[in-house]
Amino acid sequence: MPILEVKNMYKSFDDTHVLKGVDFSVEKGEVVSVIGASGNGKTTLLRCLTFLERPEKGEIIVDGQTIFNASSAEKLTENDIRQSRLRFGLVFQNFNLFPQYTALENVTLAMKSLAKDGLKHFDGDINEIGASYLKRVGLEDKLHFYPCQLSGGQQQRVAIARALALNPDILFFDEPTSALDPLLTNEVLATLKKLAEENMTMIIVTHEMKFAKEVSSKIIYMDDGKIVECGTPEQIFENPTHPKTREFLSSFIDEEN
Amino acid sequence: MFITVTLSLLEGFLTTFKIFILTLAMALPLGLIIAFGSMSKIAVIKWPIKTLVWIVRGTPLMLQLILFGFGPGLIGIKGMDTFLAVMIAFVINYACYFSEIYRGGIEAVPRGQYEAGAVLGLTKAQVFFKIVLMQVVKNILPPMSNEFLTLVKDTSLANTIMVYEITWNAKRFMNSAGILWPLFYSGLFYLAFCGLLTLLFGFFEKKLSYYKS
Repeated sequence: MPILEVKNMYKSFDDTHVLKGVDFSVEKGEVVSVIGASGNGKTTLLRCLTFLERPEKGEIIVDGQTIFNASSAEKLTENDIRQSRLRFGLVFQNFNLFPQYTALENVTLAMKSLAKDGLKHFDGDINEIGASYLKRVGLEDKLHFYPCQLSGGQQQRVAIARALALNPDILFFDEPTSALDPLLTNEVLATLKKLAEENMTMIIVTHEMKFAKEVSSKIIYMDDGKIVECGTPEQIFENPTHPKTREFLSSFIDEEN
Repeated sequence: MFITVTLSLLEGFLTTFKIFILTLAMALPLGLIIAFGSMSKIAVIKWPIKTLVWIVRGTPLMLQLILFGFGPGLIGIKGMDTFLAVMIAFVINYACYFSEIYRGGIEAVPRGQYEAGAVLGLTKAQVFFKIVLMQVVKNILPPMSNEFLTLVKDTSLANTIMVYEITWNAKRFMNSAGILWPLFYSGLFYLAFCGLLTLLFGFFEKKLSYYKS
C-alpha cells in the first residue's frame, strides 16, 4: 500500500486554475522530486497537502486512511486538520524559523506543545531529543544560536531538524535551496541526501536537476497544473516521452553547457 | 511659597499619574480587542469597529472629553463623576490609537511564521501566543513609546472638565498669586516622567534586540 495517494486534486485562486487534476502516489521510503517551470502548481500542491490551501476537488490518502476529501471538507475540525498535518513535515523555501528562539528552541517548541496536548509522545527529555536532531543535520555546535546568527544553509538545516523532530511519515520540501547561494545549497543538498540514504520518505520540489537525478527514486514533471510525466530518473532524464518534458529539460542542459 | 506650590503640584501630579496608569491598564487590552475586530473577516464586526476608530481618531480628544464631561448632564443623567468622564474619554481614545499600533505590529509579522507554526501542528492560539506575540511586541515598542509620551501630556486636557491635574494646579498660581514659575516647575514634572518612560522603553528595546526578524 502506498504511504501517500493523491487523487484528482483541483485548486484554483479566483479565476486562475493552478491544479487541474493531480494524481500520484508515493511508496514508503521513496524520494520523489517534483520538477517543472515556476508557476505550474508545484508549490500549490505541497500547500494543499499540508492544509495551507484547501483544494476544491480531490482526496488525500495516507497509509490507507483518507485524511482529506474535498466533498466532505467542511466537516473537518481544527483538531482533525491538526492531527492530519502531523503526518507531514514541510520545509519552506525561506526557512521560516522563529527569529526570537534559538536553534534548539525552534526544534523543541512544537515538540513541547504537542507532548503537552497529548498528540505526540517522546521517549526521554525533549531538549535532548531536539539536540540529537540538530546533531543529525550537523549543527550540534549551534544549539543556542539565534537564526540571525546562522547562515542561510544552517537556518535551512535547523528547519529540516525542526520538521524531522516531529517524526512525520513524509517530509515535503518546497524549493529548499532556492534562497541559497551555490555553496550553501550544497550543504543543504548533502543533508537531504543523507536523509534519503536513511530511507526517509520525501517529496522535493526543486530546480536542482543534477541533485534530483542523483537522489530520487521517482521524478514527477508538472506542467500547467498537471502531472505530465512520471517515472524513474533514467526514464525522465534520458528518455522523456512527452515533448513538454523534453523542452523543459533541454533548457537545463543548455544551461549546464 | 515654594513648599505650597510643590505640595499643590504633587497633588495635581497624583491625578495626572492616576489618569495615565488607569488609561493604560484599560486601553492596552481594549485596544488589542479592537485590533482583532478591525482585522476580522466578518463584515458586521469589522466595519462598525473601523468606523468607531475613524471617528475617535478623527475628532479632537478635547471634544470627546467635553462630550463625556458635560453631555450626560444635558440629557438628564445627573451626578456623573467628572473623573469617570475623563477615564471613559481617555480609554476609548487611546484604545483606538493602540488598536492601530497593534494592527500594524501584527500585520508586519510575515505569513510564513503563521504557516510554519501551523504545519508543525500548533493551534491558532498557540501560534499567536508562542510565536507571533513576541514579534508583535518588538514591532510595536517604538510607536508605543511615542503614544505613552503623548498620553503623559494629554492628561493636561482633563482640566477642561474640571479634573484638577498638575497643569491646572500650576495655572492656579498664575491667576491667584500672579507668578509664572510654577508653570515651569510643572513642566519639570512632565519632563522627568517622560524621561523615565524613555529610559524604560530604551531598556525594553535593548532587551529585545538580541534577535532580528
